[in-house]
Amino acid sequence: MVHCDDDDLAVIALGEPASREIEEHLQACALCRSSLDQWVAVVSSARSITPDDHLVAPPPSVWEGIRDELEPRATVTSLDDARRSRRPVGWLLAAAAGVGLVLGSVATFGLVTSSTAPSPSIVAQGGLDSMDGVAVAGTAAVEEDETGRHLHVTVPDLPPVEDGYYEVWMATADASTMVAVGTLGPSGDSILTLPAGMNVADFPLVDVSVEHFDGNPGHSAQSVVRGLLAT
Amino acid sequence: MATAAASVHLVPMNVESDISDDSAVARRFQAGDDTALEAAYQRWSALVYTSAIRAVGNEADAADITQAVFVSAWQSRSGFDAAKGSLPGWLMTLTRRRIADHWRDRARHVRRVEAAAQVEPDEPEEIAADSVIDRVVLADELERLGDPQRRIVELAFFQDLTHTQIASLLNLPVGTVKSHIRRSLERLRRRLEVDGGAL
Repeated sequence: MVHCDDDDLAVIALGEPASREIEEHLQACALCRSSLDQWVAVVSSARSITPDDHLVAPPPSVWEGIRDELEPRATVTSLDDARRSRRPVGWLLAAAAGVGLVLGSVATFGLVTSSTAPSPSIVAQGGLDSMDGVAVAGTAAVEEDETGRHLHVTVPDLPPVEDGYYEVWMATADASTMVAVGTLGPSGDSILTLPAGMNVADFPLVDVSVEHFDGNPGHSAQSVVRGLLAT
Repeated sequence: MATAAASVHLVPMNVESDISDDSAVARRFQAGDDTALEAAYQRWSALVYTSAIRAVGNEADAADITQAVFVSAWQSRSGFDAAKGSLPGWLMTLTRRRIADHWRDRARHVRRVEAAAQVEPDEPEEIAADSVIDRVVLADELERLGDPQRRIVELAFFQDLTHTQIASLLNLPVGTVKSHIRRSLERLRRRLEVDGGAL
């Protein structure tokens, strides 16, 4: 059986008359009838659109509410997420290669209570290893004073980044979850305020990566140094 | 000092770094990329919100539904498979669920009130959510049609011109107009199949 031409059915769905030939075919053919019925339903629904059906954006408070509800999660990015297609080999692989790392060997931090201690007190510290060698290339320490906790990162002799910068991350020991804590400037020495409420013990791995001004807040998978902090 | 938390949220709403199309957003969303949440919100929050307004009848409840839809979409993104369905389709599934919840809660409330007043329960006037969502989805898809399809569809749907009248008005071959109409209808039908109420 020769079925109806879809172009003919489309204008029939809009209400134009069908030829006798098409009419007869439609009576005999459930397949063509079904195509026509579906388009008739679309047309009838579309023709009942009222001005109220046109899209309006929600008020800004809705996005703010979503952000507030998700904030603790949204700042943590899972490394499983291999986010950048241009650099498919995630730095997780580099971590697995074990450049100077013994994952899992660091237990949780003992949380130092330092309300009366002279400031700043060191909560945890460690060396940062170059990602292409085993020599210690820098240091990192979590310090605490009356204003809160800070990560003090020192990595001397870092080359300038063309069209980019260095970002400092803290990650779980298995490198599955990470938080960006700030940038490392040209001096190679930065004291970064850690987010209040961040449990430092959960993020003992410090990483410095090359980032570009590309609007992507995720890790670039280009790490330059990394190391575990110990109490 | 800028932290990641700050940088994530300082990304302007109109920045689309490597977002090329809807499916790229969907894949990044599934992968847990939080910039994809914002991109998804930019693209589809109006669809969700407008559907909710039309289905529940007021803006305040629609705003709550929209917020709940995006929060639960993000939190349960492991249940979304970009290979199997579209992200707006999934968001609309969540929207319909929230709308149904809204009416169920409302019905419960009304029954309680009426039980207290010792009158026969009277179901609240539930708006036929599926058909209003269909209209919102179609209005959205019509907006997305490029010319000349959009112009042709407007003339055919809303000015009731025949395809031959449209062809002479726009100075296009009759066959071209017919196939534009067919392609547009098919596109609208597919969009309804994915995102519409009548699944």
